[in-house]
Amino acid sequence: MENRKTNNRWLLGLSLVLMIAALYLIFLYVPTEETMGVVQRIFYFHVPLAWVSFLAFFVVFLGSILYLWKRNSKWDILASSSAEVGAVFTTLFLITGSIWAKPIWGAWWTWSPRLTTAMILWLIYLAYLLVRAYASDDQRGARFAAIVGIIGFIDVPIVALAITLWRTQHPGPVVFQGGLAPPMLLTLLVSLAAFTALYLILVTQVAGLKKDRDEVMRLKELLR
Amino acid sequence: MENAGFLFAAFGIIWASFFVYVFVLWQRQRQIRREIDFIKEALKEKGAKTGL
Repeated sequence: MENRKTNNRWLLGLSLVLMIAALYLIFLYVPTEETMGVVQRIFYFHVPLAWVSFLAFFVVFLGSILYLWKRNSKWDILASSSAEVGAVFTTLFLITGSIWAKPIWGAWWTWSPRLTTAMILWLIYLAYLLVRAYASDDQRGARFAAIVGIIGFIDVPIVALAITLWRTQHPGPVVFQGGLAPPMLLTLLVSLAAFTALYLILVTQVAGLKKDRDEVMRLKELLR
Repeated sequence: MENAGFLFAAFGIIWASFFVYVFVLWQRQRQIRREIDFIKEALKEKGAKTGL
């Protein structure tokens, strides 16, 4: 328990430092993009939120496979914690994308492949959480949710590749194609590190809550 | 600064959402802690009554 608290403090400190650095870079350092103007700076939140939501679903995918294979509840706790936090990140990347789209495309939303598959990803996260919440018992819910987590992961590469596989209104890939000037790439990477650290802290906290919930159930059994 | 309102709206929504989520987690933590403490007290009393 003491090790967990110490690790959490380090992670929290790291996350705070990275987030402050990211905010400085986003609002004061990085030059304004020529075509879109200041609103383009949403990119430095929107893209890390998206990438971390993919990471979160990958953790759900791995945790689900390990849970179904080993039947150890720690994998289920990891998967469900990552799903809960991932759902928050996915919601925010959809919202920030929509806010960015309005001044640039003139519309809050379009049914282009990237946006549609991203919406499907959000619905899959929702399905995972609802299956757990409404299952008749915890173990059944965990098993069904694990199946959703494994099959649903198929959508992650589809979302990622949608801008290369299909013609879409969404901007094409720039990050790995050398399309970003060095200050922009630095800002993006620092922001990505900051949001990844935030994801790790939140998953740690949610997992701790779920372990405490299991402890409550165990103690209630002793009371009977 | 054209469209700056959209930038600050996005920024505000992100941080407000994370703060709300962290607050909700903190409330859940408090609730669980209270339950654990209550059950531990009840177990102690049960142990005292049964002489264990």
